[in-house]
Amino acid sequence: MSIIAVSDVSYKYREDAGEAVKNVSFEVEEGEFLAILGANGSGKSTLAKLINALFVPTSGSVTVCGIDTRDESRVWDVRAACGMVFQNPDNQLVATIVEEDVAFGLENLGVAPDEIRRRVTEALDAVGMGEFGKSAPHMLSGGQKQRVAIAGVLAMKPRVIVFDESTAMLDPVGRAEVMNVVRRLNREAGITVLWITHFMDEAAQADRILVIDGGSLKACGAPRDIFRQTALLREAGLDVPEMTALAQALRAGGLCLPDDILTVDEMVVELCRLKSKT
Amino acid sequence: MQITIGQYFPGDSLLHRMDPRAKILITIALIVGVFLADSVLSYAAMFAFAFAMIRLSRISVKYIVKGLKPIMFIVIFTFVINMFFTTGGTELVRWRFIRITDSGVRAASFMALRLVLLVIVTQLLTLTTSSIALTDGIESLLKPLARIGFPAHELAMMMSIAMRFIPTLMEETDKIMKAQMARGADFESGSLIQRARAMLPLLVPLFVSAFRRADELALAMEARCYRGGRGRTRMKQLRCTKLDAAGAAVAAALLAVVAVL
Amino acid sequence: MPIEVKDLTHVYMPGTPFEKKALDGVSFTLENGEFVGLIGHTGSGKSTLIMHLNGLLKPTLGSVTVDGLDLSDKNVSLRDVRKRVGLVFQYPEYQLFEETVIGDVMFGPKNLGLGAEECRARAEEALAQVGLPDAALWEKSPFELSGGQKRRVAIAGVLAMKPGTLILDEPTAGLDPRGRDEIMALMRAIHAKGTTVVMVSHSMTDVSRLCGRILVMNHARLTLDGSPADVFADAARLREAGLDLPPCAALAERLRGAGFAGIPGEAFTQEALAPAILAALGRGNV
Repeated sequence: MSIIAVSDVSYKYREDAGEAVKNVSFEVEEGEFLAILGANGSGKSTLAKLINALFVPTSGSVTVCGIDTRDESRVWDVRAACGMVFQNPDNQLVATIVEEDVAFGLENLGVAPDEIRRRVTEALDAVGMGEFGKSAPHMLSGGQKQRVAIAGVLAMKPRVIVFDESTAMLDPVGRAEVMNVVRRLNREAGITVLWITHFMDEAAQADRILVIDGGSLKACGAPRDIFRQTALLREAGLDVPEMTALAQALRAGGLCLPDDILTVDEMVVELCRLKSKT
Repeated sequence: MQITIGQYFPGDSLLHRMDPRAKILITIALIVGVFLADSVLSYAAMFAFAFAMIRLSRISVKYIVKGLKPIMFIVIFTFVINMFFTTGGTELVRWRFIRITDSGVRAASFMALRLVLLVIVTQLLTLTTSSIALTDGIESLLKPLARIGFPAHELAMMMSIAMRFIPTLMEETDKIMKAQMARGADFESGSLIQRARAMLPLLVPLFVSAFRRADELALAMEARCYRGGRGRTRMKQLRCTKLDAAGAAVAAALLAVVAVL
Repeated sequence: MPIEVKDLTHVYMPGTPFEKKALDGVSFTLENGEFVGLIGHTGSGKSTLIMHLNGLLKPTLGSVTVDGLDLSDKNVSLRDVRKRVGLVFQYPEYQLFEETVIGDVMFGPKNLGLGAEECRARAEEALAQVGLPDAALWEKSPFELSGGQKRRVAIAGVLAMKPGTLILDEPTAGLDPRGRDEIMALMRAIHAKGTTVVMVSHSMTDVSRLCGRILVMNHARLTLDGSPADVFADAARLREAGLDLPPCAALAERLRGAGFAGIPGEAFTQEALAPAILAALGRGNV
């Protein structure tokens, strides 16, 4: 059974407003790394909040770990099973000391003090922040703060973590730090990841990509299949990976290249192959 | 951006290790003591005690004295007001309309000493207690009041969030100020009214941002299953030890001495 | 007249345990009409550097001269400097405060002591320039606008001061690709009108597309200064500064190494690289 099932979901912020999310359906398998790609205002953040039961669908249904998010009595079960990391690292840390912040969610769940202590240490180690337990959040870099936020979610032992543009405000170093931690959690701890972003290079690392535009699902597939649909990506206000665009220009110039080249390495291999033929 | 007065001074002294609840109660007792003190001897006892505490905290006296600097103006001001406006007693100096009496000098000195003591005592509390321990202590002390509907947990949560965001907002203030200065804003010259008006370009963005942060924080807290104080556990358990009992006993003794003297 | 930075050193909180050297002997000259990319890691000193260029920070050592005015000179009025050098901070939309869009854009010109009519005219011109020519929008509250619009209003607020040099700290941060392209097109247009532009960025690709000159900061020092082709040719020093070549420049470098003939150092954008590759494979000028 899939861990998340979104079925024909629509959402309106107000009765008289347009739909921020329109008839969206998809499923996520346990252990999957799914990227949701969309421009600002495409509805991707709304979708994230629907999965965490912060919003309840106007119509349709969202099921997380078998729990319907409309079931008000089980809202806290949904949130414990499906953690969320937000965009601004400053606005999601509650406590003045890192380890206290990581403990926050567990304290809310009523976990016993000794167990909290154990899980906090474990979670901080898992994100490589073990030595920062006693630090103050405002002394950390953006990437470090985001890793603390991840530890705070991780300590609650969720099966799914939704990242809502969690790297958008970070510098390249911070982005890489966070991306590495998340990929490791996905591979090694088997945590299902929903990665919401407008960065191509990040989405390229996912197992599968959903493209969302104007609140609707426009495409769904493996990164290679998505990126070769350059017209669709441009239409959705997204970037086309540079090497894919270059490959297209070269194909237009008469070169015989595959249409799903993503990286510089692949391009070098292909071009060298062509060169050896001439 | 260098406000260090009263900010937690990490350490492992006896004072640092005391239970925050004990420290808060002792501080309150000392404040009462400060107001009870009404003789040279009782002030001497209070200062001796304060000095001993500073030594125990292993924080340099110099650092504490530095912390007094910002309130020196208030101390001097209170001293002067009390000196000139206390009537009665023997006249010491008379020059035109100025009249200084011995009881004026005495009241003024006591008042000034009182202020200094108050600041030292409260400083010692905040210097040796992290903000988190402090709010935990307050929450725990107020807990009995929760039964009559007093929002003890909420109050403590508000305090700790405020403390978490003070450095963030200070940084932001600096950034907004610089950005407006780049647009030619002038925060330093002009009349009082002009200066107050000049603060708008700083205050409006700052408040807008504070509200935005509050919104996002609320959502993030909700996502982490926060639903108020009910059913919550704490990672750090407060425990009163012999040390705290000893501290309380010493403070009580001091209070008795001050009250009698 | 250019901006001249000479042996600029800046130390934060000197004499305290928090002492930090943010700039260390930085020297360069910005000529009129240049489009310069300033790139480097967080903490490399970029932000400190740009705040010296309009007098928000004072040098610990060395000097900054704008149009012949020494910014350390007490007699130089800061208003005079801010008229010449405009600075747009990161996330500038967070500095909007007036009740109306137009009012906010007029704030800068007003501070320069210009008359009400002149201020209004300049604000309208600046708003049109950033792609917000609709007068109905001018009377709205800036807080009602979309994120991208807010940012453009904030940039207009600095443009309305008509600075000869415009410095932008990561003007595309947090924007999606469409928003980023809009801002990049705007910067190109501002530069085309004769303004000197300095863009601080983390993105090699953005910088390589726009700038005629790149300054690279690393650990408080200026480590590279030259045309994009020159800077990308020194890949070793870029990596030392923790930066990567933009993909096309990296590809060009690899192809040169693989014996492709005639791929010039200037071929660091897709537009320049595609014909070069076609030519190298004998498909050029078909």
